[in-house]
Amino acid sequence: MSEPVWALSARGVSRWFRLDHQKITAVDKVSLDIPTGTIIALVGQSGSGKSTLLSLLGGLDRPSEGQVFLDGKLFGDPVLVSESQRAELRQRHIGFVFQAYNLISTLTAVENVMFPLRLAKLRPALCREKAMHLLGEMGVADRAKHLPSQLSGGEQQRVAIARAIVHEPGIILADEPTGSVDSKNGAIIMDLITGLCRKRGKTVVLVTHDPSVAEVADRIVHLKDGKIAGVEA
Amino acid sequence: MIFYLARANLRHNRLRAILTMLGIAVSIGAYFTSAYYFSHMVEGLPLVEVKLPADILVSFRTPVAAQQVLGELKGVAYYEPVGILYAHTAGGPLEVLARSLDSLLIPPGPMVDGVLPMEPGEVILPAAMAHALGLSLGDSTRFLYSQGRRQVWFDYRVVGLYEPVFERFALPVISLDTAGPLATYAQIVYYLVLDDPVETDRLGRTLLKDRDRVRWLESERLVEETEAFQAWREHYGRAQSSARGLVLVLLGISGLGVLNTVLLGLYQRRRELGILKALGLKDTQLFHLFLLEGVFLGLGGLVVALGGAGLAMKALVHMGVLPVFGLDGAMARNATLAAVAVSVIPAFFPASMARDRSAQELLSAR
Repeated sequence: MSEPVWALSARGVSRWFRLDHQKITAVDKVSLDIPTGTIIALVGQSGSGKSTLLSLLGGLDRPSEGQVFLDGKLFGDPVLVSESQRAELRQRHIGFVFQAYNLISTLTAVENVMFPLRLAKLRPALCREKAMHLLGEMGVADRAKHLPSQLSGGEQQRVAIARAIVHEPGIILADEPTGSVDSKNGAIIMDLITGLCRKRGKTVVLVTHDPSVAEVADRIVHLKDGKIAGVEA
Repeated sequence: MIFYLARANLRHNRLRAILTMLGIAVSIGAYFTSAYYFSHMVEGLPLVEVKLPADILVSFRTPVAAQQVLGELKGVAYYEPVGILYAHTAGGPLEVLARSLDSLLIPPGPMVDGVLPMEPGEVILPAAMAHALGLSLGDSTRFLYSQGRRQVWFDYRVVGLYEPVFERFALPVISLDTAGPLATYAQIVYYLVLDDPVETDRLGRTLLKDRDRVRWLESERLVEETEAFQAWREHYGRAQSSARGLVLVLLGISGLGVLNTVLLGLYQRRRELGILKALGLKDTQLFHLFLLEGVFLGLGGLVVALGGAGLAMKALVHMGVLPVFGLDGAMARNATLAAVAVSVIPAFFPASMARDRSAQELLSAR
């Protein structure tokens, strides 16, 4: 029987930094398999390494040790995978939602959503059509021409979610997606993420310290001092 | 995509971008000024009427300038330099005066009979012309001249005959050439060749007037032509080097302006750059984004500089401050190269910084 292909898989992944000749280990030999179409929550206290692990899973950072696989293909490696290759894989397969919205301040809402499609070299008209459709689903179509600074926190996060899924990636990585919005907007954001992702069969990995957010996950991975302290179904 | 992002960023920070462009425009303007000066400095020197004791017509900076001015006199066909005398002096240009009125008496061809005109109303004629007219020395002749609808005439007494070198009437004229900002002055003797005898006569009378009051400057030291040219070239070279240095300094300053703008953009946008990388923008694309922003700034500055210089030059030429419109293709090409250099080279550093940082590093910037 062949091994299952995981959406994301970490094999003995570590990440350490040198600070004033001191080695600081943020993630310590973590192995984790994330099945396709599931929602995984990484929880833990501040400094537990959950955001660093998310960065390694998303190819934003290179592991100091170990390997990360995306759909069974080598994605993160200290040496073997170049930044250019990771950028390409990120662009095709992963959508990011960050805590601080992180929209491009010089682009309007619709231009922000169009960006991943433009990177994929789609026709501008098609990009705009898709982006507008998704903004409509998010309930912010009327703010399409506004710059991020003209949007509320909740609206910005909705635009960010639209940008994360507009190019139909298989995996959504969300780092504290509700961390900068009030509880009401937080609930809306989570409904959007889970609803859209379940409807579209996406794999979601979200980092949170909020138990109510983690509740929506199929599995909760607890991290402590850079290591997996426990997994909860 | 990169083009779009670069444009959006500059548009978003338009005040900073405009100021940087203006900085580049100023430095390119300095280049234009310098290049113009050294291309047209001779023509550009103001035409100063140096009133010589002998009241010898006017003094022109150069034969070219003389041609420009004298060309406005009806009837002047062309001029023909016949000799140049150089003098060094520690004093200003007014200290260098005409060498001698003898030079005024250089005939427009070898004399075959008689003497040179000494008084108004006297004339020397080409020998063949005198023969054809049946005139000999001491005879009087009348030259007719059309002045609009009127016919005017002047009577002349023939005092000399010469073998013409030119087909037309000619007058020897002395001018002073200050040869630029140097204390080297050249006395140029040349013939004004005129189409009509009346104008010839008028100029001739002016030339001969007060001839006895010409004084000599004993302090002048005549130098060889090569020595004068050598000194001129050295001075010119030094002045040109200084101007080039100044332009390079200004270009360097505007380059630092671009560096500052792009670097500030990098620091301000680190998180956004991290987002761009997270979304899949490749390192090389990010590198090109910064270079492109630099190019936009440079081209913006170039357009402002070209437009401004063009308009300013036209206005100054119109006002008579500048002699000619000197913005040519070579200057535009050099300015383009300078603009690209001062915008792209400084952008390399921040572009490399942005390229070499990981998405995570950029995202975690505060």
